[in-house]
Amino acid sequence: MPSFYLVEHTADVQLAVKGETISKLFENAMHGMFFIMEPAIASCSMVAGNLHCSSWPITKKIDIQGSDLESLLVNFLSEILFLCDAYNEIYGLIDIQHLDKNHIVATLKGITLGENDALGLEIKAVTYHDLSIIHDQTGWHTTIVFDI
Amino acid sequence: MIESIKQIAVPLKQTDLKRISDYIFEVPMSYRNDMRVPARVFMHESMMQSILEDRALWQLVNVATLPGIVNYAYAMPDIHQGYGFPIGGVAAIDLTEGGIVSPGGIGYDINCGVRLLASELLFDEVKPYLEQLATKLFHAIPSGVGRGGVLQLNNEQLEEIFLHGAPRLVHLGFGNADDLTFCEEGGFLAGANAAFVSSHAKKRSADQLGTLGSGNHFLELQVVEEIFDRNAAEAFGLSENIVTIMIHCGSRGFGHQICTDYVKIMMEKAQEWSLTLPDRELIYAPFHSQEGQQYMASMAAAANYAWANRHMIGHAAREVWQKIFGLSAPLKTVYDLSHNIGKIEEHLVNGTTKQLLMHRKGATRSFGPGNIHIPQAYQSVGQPVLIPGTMGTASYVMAGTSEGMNVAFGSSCHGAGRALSRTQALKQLNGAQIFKDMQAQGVTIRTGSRRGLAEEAPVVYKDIHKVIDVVHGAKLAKKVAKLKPIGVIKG
Repeated sequence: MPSFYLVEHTADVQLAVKGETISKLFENAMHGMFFIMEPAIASCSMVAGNLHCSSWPITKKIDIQGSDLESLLVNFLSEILFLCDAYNEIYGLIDIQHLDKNHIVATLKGITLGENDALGLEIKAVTYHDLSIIHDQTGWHTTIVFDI
Repeated sequence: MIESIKQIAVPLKQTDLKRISDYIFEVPMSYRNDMRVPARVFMHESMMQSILEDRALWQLVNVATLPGIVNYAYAMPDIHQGYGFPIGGVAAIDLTEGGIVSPGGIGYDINCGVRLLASELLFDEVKPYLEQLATKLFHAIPSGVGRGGVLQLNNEQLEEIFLHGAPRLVHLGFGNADDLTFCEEGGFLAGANAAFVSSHAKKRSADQLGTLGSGNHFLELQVVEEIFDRNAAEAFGLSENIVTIMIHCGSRGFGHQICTDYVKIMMEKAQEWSLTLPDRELIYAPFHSQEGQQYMASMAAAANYAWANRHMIGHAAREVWQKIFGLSAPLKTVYDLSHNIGKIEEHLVNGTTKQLLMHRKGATRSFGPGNIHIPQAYQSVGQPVLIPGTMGTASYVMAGTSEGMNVAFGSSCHGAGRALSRTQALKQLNGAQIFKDMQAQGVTIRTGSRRGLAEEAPVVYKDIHKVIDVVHGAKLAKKVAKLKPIGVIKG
């Protein structure tokens, strides 16, 4: 059962994500974002929405703040998007060391895109459109709209 | 935590719209008690269902609540759902009356826009070289996601581009003075300041100059299929059957980062400013606040980068053109126009001249004859308004009119809006089939991504001819020429 799926949205892409814990929600949101970007990478494959690569040579640490949980999620994904574009990398693993409603510290593991690798779709930005993070008996869930 | 009167998006109904004329419909202020002005939609009755389909009108009503907004919140006929502002939205903000600036009213892709170049060769003269031309252009101009630019600039040179835009590139030997004369604002906005641009944004600017990007960005080879206004067409250098090149792209990762940065900064200040927002994406800053001013200075830097980008691509296209057709085969810039930008303009409001901050998101400036801000050569006919149809469909050249200045502060639409969602498009369409269909219609395509074709296929967009008819009928601009695609290059 996938932890995220794409929702109909007129001009952009909306990702519906869930997780048993808040950490899992953030992790699945990252995986969902890379799924949307359609990576075509020689040493990787996409399995059930998650990227599987033969190795993860790149490590990036991130330390992000937000005024509330929704802002934190937007800032977290925006930072990953920045790293992806600035360094020409994608990230398939994440280890969250700290997460509360205003602060996340995590380590990402990733891979650099080679000359013959490509991303199928460019995400311009992570938006606040329709964003509410809900916590109920079924766990944590939210929808995130990306400007593409 | 933002104190938002978080409005549940209420879809508007046909009965909420009042018909003002054949091409103008209005949502009166009585519709919702936080509206400061009515909302006006330029559309035809036949477009009613598709315009009511998404949240665009709810977003337009939200725009009408912005502090300092003057006259109306306007929606162009290609309106569709966006972030905060609908795409195709125009808002004039009075800076003396507690006016604000909203990054969502300008867009993530700051200064996404269009450049049109015209040759002096006819289609029959170009046709034997079309495949070669398309291939050479595809190789000369990087496109696709994350494709690096050919121009390697150091940090100092990049900063000069942020400050001075396209003119800086002429200084470095790329393009010519006419490319600047026939560009909106001469290819740069004053007031840019690199000090307020984040290091994240600067890092992303490093190797993207001269690149097309992906999605609905493209370079298109076209032929002038029909002329509607001989006088204006002649002034623009357009005649029947000549080949043109149209470039559609923006500020790339640099602009996207700047918008993301300032949405974040303003979001963090929202509580301090006691903002009540119907939609978080409508976040704004008081124009005269530090954050508002720093956003304006950074937005100008992004705008300048985008103009430098289109200038560079135009130059690369000209080099390819002249390599094939010879150095005496000109390719001149007709005009370059932005459709995601915020600009301070002087307009008449109730008989008084006012300084207004024009937010145009998925909308363009459209100034009429005699306006000092348009090139000398176009003074008698008005400013060119360039409207790309989506990939493979007709594009239009229009001209600003004197009456247009009074209709929506000299604004016009930017192109057909999306009708079919991306996931729907992919389910229904097939990239390889579209490739074949377009080739059968005589359109040569070079693209890195067949999937991208399905997402951007002509059927996915609203009917551009209808949109143009409304613009013409509402006197926002008048039809000058129709361009037919003969080649498309995209990422």
